[in-house]
Amino acid sequence: MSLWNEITNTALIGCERKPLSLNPQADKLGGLLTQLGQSDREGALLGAAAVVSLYGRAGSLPSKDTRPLPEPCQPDDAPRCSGLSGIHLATMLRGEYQQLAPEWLSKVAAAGRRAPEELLPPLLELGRIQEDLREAILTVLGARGRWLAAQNPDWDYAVGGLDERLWETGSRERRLSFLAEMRRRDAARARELLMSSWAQESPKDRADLLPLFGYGLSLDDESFLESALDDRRKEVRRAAADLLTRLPESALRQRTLERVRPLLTFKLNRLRRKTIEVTLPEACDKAMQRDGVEPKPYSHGVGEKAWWLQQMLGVIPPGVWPRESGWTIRELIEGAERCDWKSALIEGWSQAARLHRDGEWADALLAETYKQGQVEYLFQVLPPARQEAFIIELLKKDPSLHTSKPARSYVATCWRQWGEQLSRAVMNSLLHHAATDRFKDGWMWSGFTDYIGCRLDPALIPETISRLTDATKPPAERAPAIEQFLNFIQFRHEMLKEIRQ
Amino acid sequence: MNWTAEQILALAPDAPSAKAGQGLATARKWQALGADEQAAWGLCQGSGKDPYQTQIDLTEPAFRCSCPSRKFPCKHGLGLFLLLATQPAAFKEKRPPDWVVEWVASRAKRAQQRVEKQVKVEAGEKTVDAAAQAKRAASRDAKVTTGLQELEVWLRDIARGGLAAVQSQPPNFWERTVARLVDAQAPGVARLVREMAGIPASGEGWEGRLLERLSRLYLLIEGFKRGADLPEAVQTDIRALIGWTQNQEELLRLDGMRDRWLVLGQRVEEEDRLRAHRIWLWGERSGRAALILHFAHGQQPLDASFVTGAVIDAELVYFPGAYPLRAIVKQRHGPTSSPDGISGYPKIADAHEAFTGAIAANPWLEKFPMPLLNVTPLRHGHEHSEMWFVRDAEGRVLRLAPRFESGWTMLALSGGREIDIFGEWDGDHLWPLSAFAENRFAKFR
Repeated sequence: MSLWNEITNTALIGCERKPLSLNPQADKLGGLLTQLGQSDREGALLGAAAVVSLYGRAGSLPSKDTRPLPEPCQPDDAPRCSGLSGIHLATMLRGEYQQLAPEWLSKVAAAGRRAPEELLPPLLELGRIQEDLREAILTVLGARGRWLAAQNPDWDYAVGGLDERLWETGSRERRLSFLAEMRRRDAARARELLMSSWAQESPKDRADLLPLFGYGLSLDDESFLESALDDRRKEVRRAAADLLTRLPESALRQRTLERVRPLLTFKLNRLRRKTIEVTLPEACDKAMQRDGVEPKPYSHGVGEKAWWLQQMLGVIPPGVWPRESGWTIRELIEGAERCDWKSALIEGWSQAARLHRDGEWADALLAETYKQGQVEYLFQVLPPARQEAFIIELLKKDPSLHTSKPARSYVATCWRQWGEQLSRAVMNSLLHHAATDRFKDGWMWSGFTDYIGCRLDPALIPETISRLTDATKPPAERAPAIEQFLNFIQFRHEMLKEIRQ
Repeated sequence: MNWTAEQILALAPDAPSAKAGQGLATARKWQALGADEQAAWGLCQGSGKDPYQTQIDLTEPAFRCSCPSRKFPCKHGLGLFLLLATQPAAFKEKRPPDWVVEWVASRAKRAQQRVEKQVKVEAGEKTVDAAAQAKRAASRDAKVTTGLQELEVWLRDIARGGLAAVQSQPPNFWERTVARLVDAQAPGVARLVREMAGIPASGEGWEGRLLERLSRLYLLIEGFKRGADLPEAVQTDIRALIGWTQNQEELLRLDGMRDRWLVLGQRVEEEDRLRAHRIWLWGERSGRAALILHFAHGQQPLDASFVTGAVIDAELVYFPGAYPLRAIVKQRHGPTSSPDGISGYPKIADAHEAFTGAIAANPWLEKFPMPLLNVTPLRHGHEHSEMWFVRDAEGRVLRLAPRFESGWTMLALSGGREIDIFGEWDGDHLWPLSAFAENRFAKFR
């Protein structure tokens, strides 16, 4: 037993019961220890502890570890972003102006730069939590970031190869993110893996795993998805049907088209105007239900049969109908308006335009239906230039961005970056509010102004800042949401300027 | 010196100040911006009627602003400094306005007065009542002596009854002793006891760790009892550890040591409402370490004039002791500059040898500064328990403190290669404060 162990053992029990007895060696340390008088038990114990612990601390050279070191990182080709750009990123990683992080990432990647080393851990951590940012994060990690991620299983999304053991043994959450990642990289391998474990997965897991096939979806997935249409769990059947409707050339689409085709007749009415004659389906049979048709309408006021037709129409790419009828989209919509089942046709086509992201159809339908509201999803499908023209038109009629006005929700859902014209129109709207209600309803602006700040044309930021600052003087009376907005776009401006330099 | 935005933001007292400072780092928020060799200034419109006058003495840096904020430096000072670093062209004025000239002059005058005061004191112009002072000192000596006598009884009780019995003691077992030591005017010893309170519940090996601390305390009491029999430097160390403060004016009368001092790293530790701010310096010519120690109560600002990774040309006076480390700045010469390079211990064995020398001279030394050149950070462990190390070319390893949270940042900076790391060594663990990699200084949180 070492000297120190003997001393601690005695100390643990207490020297009342057992005095310290050491047999020190005849070296310098031993000499010191023998000087401690035995008559003072406590003094001898504490004194010996002081001497021996200091002796050990001073004398024991740190140990050697001669195992081979892990492989170091390869040097990075891409240069690090500037120090100030790094500070901007650090600010966002702390949670400030976080909505601008995607823009920082894409712009820095486009400039051929990478994130600074010290910010790699929080950046990789952000990607772990926010899957939608992963793709952008990967572009600024550089060799160093990928090397670092390879050493932490939490960050495996950023590593070149995926470890399939995660699929076998990982937690539920891990397996979900593994499959999503695998679908992005090697959809066929992901399908093989899921098929091999499909029978053992719990119904809940099946329902959560299958929608991940949305990544890298192709016709190769069809037969597996077809088999999932017969699953015992409704959510699984639903997910399989949704995926199959998104597959061009899928048998499900074809079957649906075959069901709908005989129901619609394109003809001229007695006044020789184009009109659509609709025969409603008689029943919602097993085969239709298997293909995802819900037998019961979600809302009252819609007849069952019209509801079945509407759902089936919603699956078929709307581009089919001009070919089937020989009419233009405009003519088809007019034809629908003249028939008894107008709303089923318009609703079904609207769903289809959204599902198949058909901008032409969305544009035509939006002109028809926007008065009725609730059609932001059609707006989403419009080509960018049309989206902007649409909002500009609305703002021309009424510049207010009040929550009760139609322009408001379109501005909030126009996600991509705006061109100069739309940016200017929105800036003028802000100036309009500065001159009229002075942004007095704070609840209406906080949050919403961040949307605007993210999408405004960067070239217009300096003008917006100076005019809006002037229009909301003095600073002491400026609405907090506007002060925050000015800071927000100022930050964005500095951030982009620094990346460009 | 070219200040970087990172260095400036590191001066911010907290994250909200850093954010607000960034928001003000834009020419739109300022009027009459100007700068010369010595200072930078500008007017910033706040919520009040008159704009705030913000100015920076660039040589240190030192800040002054007419805003009412209690933060230091305030957001205006940080914003102005950041703006200077990122857009120097915006500072068009070259002639300082009166309010800048006055401030710079008053700073120079204060520095001058300090020197004159030293001269006066040296000339024997005693302004204090020596008799009253001696009486106070004697009374404190008596209090401390009684306090340490009581502490020795307490300590011997523990040794007699055994550490196992300590484990089942209620928290006030420690608190009572701490309170008595505070009353006995021995705050340093009180702190040592307070730090022991958590050890019995700290898991495997606790008895060894506690015994080590208790024995060090015993050594302190013994040393105090022997008093004048010990070398003077050791007596000074003992008195400093117990809690006697060194008269800094007396210190400033001593000759200092002039060097180019690299600011290696800083750490702030909070206890109760007192923040202890340690600033570690390394003399480029002397190869000596120095510790600048500041205490801030409650809302008091920390010293913002030391920028990690920068070099100050200054004369320092060391506090006396057997292994002098703590120092104060007697005088700064010239502006802050960038380091020529970094120096430190080329091998862990060298660093350890220096540490051995230090504790041989002062066995109560708690933090030893270790600038380590060419070490590789290493991580051992798996998902839920990991340990971090640094390893040198000979394969010697130092373990990092388990509570150190920036292991991944350190690994990211190194990329698995050798970098320079500065940290505080406490005899068991290293706590890294900064790293020098690929010609960049990075500090850890």
